Amino acid sequence: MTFESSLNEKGDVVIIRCPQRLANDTSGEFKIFIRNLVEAGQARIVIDLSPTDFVDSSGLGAIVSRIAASRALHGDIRLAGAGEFVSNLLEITHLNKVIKAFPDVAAALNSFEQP
Amino acid sequence: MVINKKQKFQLKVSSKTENLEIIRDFIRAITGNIGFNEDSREQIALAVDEACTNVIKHAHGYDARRMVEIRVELDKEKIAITIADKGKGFDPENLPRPDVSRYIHEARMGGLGIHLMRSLMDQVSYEINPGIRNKVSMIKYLNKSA
Repeated sequence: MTFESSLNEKGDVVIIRCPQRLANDTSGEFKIFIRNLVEAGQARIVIDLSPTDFVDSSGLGAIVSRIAASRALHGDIRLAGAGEFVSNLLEITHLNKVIKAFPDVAAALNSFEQP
Repeated sequence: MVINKKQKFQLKVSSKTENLEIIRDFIRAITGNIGFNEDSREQIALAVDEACTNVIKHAHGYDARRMVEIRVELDKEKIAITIADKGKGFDPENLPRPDVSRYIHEARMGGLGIHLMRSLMDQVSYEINPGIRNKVSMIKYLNKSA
């Protein structure tokens, strides 16, 4: 499976479009996709969750798997556009306390511009 | 739909992750017309998905010759779901409570599925008899779903 990704205008943040379902059948590849980006030095990442209506525990694991690595490179992995179901899961699991989430991609990109 | 009598449903599928979608659709179909809102339906489907994933991965070790059995009982107050297997059991009480800070630093998320099940359902209980019959039972009440 391939994941749609693009760069912002400045070329310093990668936006990854999350699939509709981030579960057992897709989360392993998604995790590798993020790992490869971070290992290549691309430490600023926005995961666009707007197309995503189902996430399981493996999907949540994939999302957070490289946060520490990206932060070690002075970057971060931030979320954008999560719907109600996914937002509730982030809250239930307390992942909302350790990962920054924004209403949409523009807001997430803008957050990287803040000091 | 008003449920006056207890209704029972059963699904038995081979133990493989490809069948998780069938399992989720089975649960969504049952919860579709009995008063659970859309989010609650998805939450119940996810809790069952996580329980079945544990069976497929841990109890059966991805052995698709084994079977996962899901039984559902509906009445006017609640949905009760039981997932049974005859594989290796485990003691869920021995699992550490999820620690998100540790997850992030260790880049792994063990135990999150069970935490999700406990959080998404109103009651979760286990009967563990390794090799004989393991059972996880989950209940969600209708009047807590709004």
